[in-house]
Amino acid sequence: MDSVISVSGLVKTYGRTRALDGLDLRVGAGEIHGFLGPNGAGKTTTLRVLLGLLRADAGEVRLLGGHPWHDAVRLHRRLAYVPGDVTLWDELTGGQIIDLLGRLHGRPDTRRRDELIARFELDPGKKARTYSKGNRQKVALVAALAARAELLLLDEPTSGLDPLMEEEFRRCLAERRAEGTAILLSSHVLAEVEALCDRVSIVRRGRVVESGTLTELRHLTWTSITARLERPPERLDGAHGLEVHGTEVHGTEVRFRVESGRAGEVLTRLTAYGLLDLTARPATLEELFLRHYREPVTP
Amino acid sequence: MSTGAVNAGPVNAGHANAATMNAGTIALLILRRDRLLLAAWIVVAVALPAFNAYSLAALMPAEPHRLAFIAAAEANPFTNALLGPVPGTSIEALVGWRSSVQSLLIGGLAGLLFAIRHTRAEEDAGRRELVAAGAVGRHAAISAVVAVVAAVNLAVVVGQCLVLGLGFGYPPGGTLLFGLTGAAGATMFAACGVLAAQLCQSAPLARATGVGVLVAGLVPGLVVPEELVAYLPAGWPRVARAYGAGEQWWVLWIPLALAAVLTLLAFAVSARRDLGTGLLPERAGPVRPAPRSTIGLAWRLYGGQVVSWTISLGVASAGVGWVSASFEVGTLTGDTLLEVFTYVFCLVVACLAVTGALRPYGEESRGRASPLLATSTGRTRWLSGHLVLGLAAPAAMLLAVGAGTGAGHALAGGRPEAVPVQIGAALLFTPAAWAVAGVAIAAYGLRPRAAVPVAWAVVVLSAVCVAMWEAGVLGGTAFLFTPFGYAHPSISPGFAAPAGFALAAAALVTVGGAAFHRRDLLA
Repeated sequence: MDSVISVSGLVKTYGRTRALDGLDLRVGAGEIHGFLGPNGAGKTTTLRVLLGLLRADAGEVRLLGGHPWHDAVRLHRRLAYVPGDVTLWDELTGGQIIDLLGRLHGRPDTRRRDELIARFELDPGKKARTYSKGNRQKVALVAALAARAELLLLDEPTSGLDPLMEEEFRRCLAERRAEGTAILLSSHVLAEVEALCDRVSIVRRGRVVESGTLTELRHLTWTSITARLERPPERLDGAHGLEVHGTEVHGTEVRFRVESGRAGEVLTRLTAYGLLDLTARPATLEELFLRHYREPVTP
Repeated sequence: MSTGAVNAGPVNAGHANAATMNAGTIALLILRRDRLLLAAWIVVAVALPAFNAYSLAALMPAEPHRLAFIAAAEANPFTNALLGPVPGTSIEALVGWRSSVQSLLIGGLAGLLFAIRHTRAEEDAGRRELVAAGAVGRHAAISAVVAVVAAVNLAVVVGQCLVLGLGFGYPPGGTLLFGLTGAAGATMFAACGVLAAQLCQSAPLARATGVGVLVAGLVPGLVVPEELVAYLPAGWPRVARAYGAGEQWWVLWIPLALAAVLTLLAFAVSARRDLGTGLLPERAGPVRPAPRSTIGLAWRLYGGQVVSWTISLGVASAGVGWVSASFEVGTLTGDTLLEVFTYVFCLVVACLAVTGALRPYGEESRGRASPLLATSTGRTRWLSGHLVLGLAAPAAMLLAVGAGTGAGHALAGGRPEAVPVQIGAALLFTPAAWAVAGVAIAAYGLRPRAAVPVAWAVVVLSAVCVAMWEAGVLGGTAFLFTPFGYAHPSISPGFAAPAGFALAAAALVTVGGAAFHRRDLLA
């Protein structure tokens, strides 16, 4: 697979803080790659290194076959970016700003721009001063999505959008993927990531702790089981070396998680207490992320 | 889409990675954003020597008047040190001499602040990130702002040539040299601003540094020996001798070369540094408990500024007071020096009072008012927190000016009675400072978007009235109705005018407060 972004061992320090601590990331051509992590994990810093706004202290970074710092201008013609916190020029209208950003990018698609303005229901004639956070976000999104780009770098682009606009945004990204555009999407909206992303990287304290497709990520996790029994159970954990987590017992109802692939063994034990009802579901994406967000860091 | 196909496109041409890529687009952005500001800048810079040409010609129509004036000026070491010798006896030589440092100060300050506004301030606001993500060269923003400043300064030269050369009939060569000296110096100060913006981590820090350099470049005519002054910006117009015998055109190369060097240094720093960083970092403040009241909040936010201005004014005043006790040269006595400087300090305090009165507007327009007003804090309490500080600060600063000048004078001259006299004289200006602040507050309550231009327009107009009074264009009674009138050293104030301005200030503050209570909050 062609790599549009390949980062290995990226380090960026601010004084004594290590914002990025050996980060590895690969984004393939034509994929939407989810970039997830708690606040302050290093997502924005990574994007800024990729844009050549920050210089890497160590590590190898290749972007569209070029060096993000030395080839910045040449590369920026081929990518578009939406910052996490969009500030605009108060004196200009939204339409003027979209055109300005298009000119700065160099390859705007005016037909697509007009279509996007209509789809996002943006009033381009208003001064940016009067825009809400969501409308400022739309201005940056329209400018980025209207550019003829091979790569989109999006830093939490839907914060501030209403659900309808979020839906429209997802459709736009899906269309762009169909055209072959690679997208790196930093996000906290797990539903959005689950719906859109082909692959996901979870970053924590400046390092990618997990990377792969959602199916790969679900592998080696757990299944959540809720069971109703005839008699209250005794001692579920520990039996047969089985790891059972978060057991809650309310009378004859029991809830717990069991590692993937070993549900059968637990069921055998449960039948001994007279199994009446059972629901089992795989780990949700949310649980998956929360596990990484909450886990204490091992030095 | 394969990356190879795109690589073959024109995008990869040799110049496509140029460091100044898209500088033109950014220059157009700057022009579009600030076209009114730039127009005002050009008008003021052209009007300044034109005003001097008009008023000096009215004062001294014939050669004997001018000879007497030049003799007095050259006998006055104070004027002599600031402006140097007059290069000739013609009216145009006199006008060029009088306008040179003023032009440098106005053009330099405007260029410096403008350069920081379009570089570091853009970066602070987060818009540089948006721009730099485009196909924009690393030197594009700096190149654009330097080009715009140079173009504005050239427009000023053209305007001066038209107004002075064609309008007043001054010789074209001298007019061009006079204009170019100011333009080259102003461009050099803009380049200082560009470099300060790259070195300092925030726009306020860069502004303070830049203004420091400007003051250091223009003021030390007073302390630097005559032969060294030529190397400082203040000395360039003296060496150039516009309209005088033996005009020196080569002087123009000094500011232009300096501007080029400073710009290249800024390029070098900007091409190496990360977004949002600088060699001179912002200091992190100490951790203190949260303020408990609106006045406490206002003090926490702006108290530091107020204290440092008060101390600076006090120290500067003490210095002036000390010097004035033993100052007696030509026609300029120590008492005159003391009066003039006390008045100048009072005008500085008036400007600071306006800045203070506009703070609620800054807070509100940046969206910091609504979260507080959504709590049990009422509008009146929120506004009064800022107003108490905003109105107490000028009084404290005037006290510092009075105590400083008085104590300096008393210590050096052994005249302790100077202390209460000076304190009284300075504090007498308080109603005037409150009145200009009151205009800002009333405008803020009634038409918040107009508050900043209205407030500063009142300050500028009042200052113009001072100039017109000094030039003899404005009558004494009319002058007393302007805020800076009654405290002027040439006027013995009485108490009617200060009392009137105190009443006016109270009325304006009341109107502003009531209107603020009634109107919609800004978005």
